[in-house]
Amino acid sequence: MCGGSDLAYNLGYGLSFSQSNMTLVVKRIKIGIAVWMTAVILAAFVLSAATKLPILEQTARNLYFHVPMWFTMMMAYFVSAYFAVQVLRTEDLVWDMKVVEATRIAMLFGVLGMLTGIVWSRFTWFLGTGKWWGSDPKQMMAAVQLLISGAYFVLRSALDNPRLRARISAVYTLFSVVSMIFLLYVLPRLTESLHPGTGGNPAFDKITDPTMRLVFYPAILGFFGIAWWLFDQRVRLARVEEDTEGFYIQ
Amino acid sequence: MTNMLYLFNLLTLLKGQQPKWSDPNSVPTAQPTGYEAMMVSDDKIWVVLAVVLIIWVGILIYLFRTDQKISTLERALHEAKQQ
Amino acid sequence: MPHTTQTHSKLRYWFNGAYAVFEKDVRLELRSRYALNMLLMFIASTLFLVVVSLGNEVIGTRVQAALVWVILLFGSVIGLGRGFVSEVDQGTVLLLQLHTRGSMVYAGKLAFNIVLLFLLNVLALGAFLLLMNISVENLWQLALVLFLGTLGLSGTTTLLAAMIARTRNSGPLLAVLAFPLLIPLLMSVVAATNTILLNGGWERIQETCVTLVAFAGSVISASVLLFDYVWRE
Repeated sequence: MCGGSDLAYNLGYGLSFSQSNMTLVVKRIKIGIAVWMTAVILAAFVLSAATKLPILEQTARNLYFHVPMWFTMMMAYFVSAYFAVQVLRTEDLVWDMKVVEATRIAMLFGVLGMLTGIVWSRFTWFLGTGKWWGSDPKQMMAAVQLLISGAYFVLRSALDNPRLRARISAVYTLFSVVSMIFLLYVLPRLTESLHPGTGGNPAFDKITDPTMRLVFYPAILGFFGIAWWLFDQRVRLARVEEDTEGFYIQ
Repeated sequence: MTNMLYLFNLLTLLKGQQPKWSDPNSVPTAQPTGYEAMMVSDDKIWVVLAVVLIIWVGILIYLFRTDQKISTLERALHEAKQQ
Repeated sequence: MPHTTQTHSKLRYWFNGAYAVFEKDVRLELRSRYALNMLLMFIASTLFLVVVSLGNEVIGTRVQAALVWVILLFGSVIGLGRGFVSEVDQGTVLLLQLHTRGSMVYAGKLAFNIVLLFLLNVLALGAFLLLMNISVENLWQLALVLFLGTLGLSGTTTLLAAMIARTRNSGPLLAVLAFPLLIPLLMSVVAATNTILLNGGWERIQETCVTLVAFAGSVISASVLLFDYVWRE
């Protein structure tokens, strides 16, 4: 048992001293994300969504909220695959922790994308049918991604040795990427879709006017930022957890 | 950004059917009732509200769980200090 | 050229090692017949369950294709899960690690799994067609799709089986890990089987066959790359 309060003091001191510069930059980025996202939400409602499509009506504005969920999910998933490569390359457990948190973010945005998609389609294309689930390719894709993430966490809970757990679960993440790429290729050929550019639907740029794209791309960036923010909090927390466990609970 | 658009359009496979997106025939002729009527009133703007709220609640839940983790850590640190 | 003979003998060494692993597994299987008997019983009882629960109901080709492939998927995941677990149980992992390279073990196990699975799938599919009174005109097309599906199936499950051999209680874990990854395979294979049952013509099956070959190829090459990380201590 080490002397508790002294160590905590030194630890906090060391962190705040060496990382103070970095912390300031990160803090400014976060304020930037907050302002950016607020502006995006405002613009999403204030600017005109000039689609004259009969079924969509005002729900065309969902483009700014529903579609970035899917983008962020895929981004987080591929970022977790990058971290998995680093795990295998360096055998460093810090990377393993990052794979876990990135996978969690992918799960969060997968669930959000699915729920928002269900609500959107329920009151537009499925109106009056009582239908909630449409087996749309992108919906299936999100569902498969959730299954993979779930399997990833089950696999982790079955492994005790931290190093082995890091290595084996990283292999699973990378292996699932191969299958995911095939799903991207196979699904649209075998199922029909409500999404633009697929299954006889007009391509994305045919149905959106420039004003909508003006909000859409910043919205994607903003949600990437929020995803990174949530990820960063968890990673920092896990780091502190690791540090303190090493010092106190031995 | 063009990459993103490419990803979006990667799945393009035009079969030459009636676009389902805005096919007026797929709108039911019967007037919606109950919660459906509520959701589709005012040009369906309430659907957008529902979607925004879902995302907001999702992010909140995630924040609360991070909070829980911090509390657990704080408690563990406190106990360690007591010893 | 000394260089070519050297590469040649290296290749020969690798092939011999892989073949030794394969032969060992075949011999063990022929001695105990555990996996074979268990899988035969599993497939027989599942098929019987399906037949009993369907009664005299006539089902469409799509449902037929989906049913048979779900049965095959479950059967193979149950059967192949043992591959590496038995090595751990018998304490032969260290021996294999000392005497062979990872890729040899993977190749040997993969070859054994493909042979075992194809044999079983042919039997299961034959029994299914018989029990459901389905007549197929293009049997060779069905056999081709079955073989390519088996390739992808064993390519995926072999690496995952090696992974679950490292876990504590590996019972149904393989199914949890494998099914999400097998969804693209299942979709294309069911679509192709449906087309064959409907006599849909070679062109549409050809496209799926290319997809299946690409799936098996990329899954197996990814496994070769990743296997060492699972195999070494």
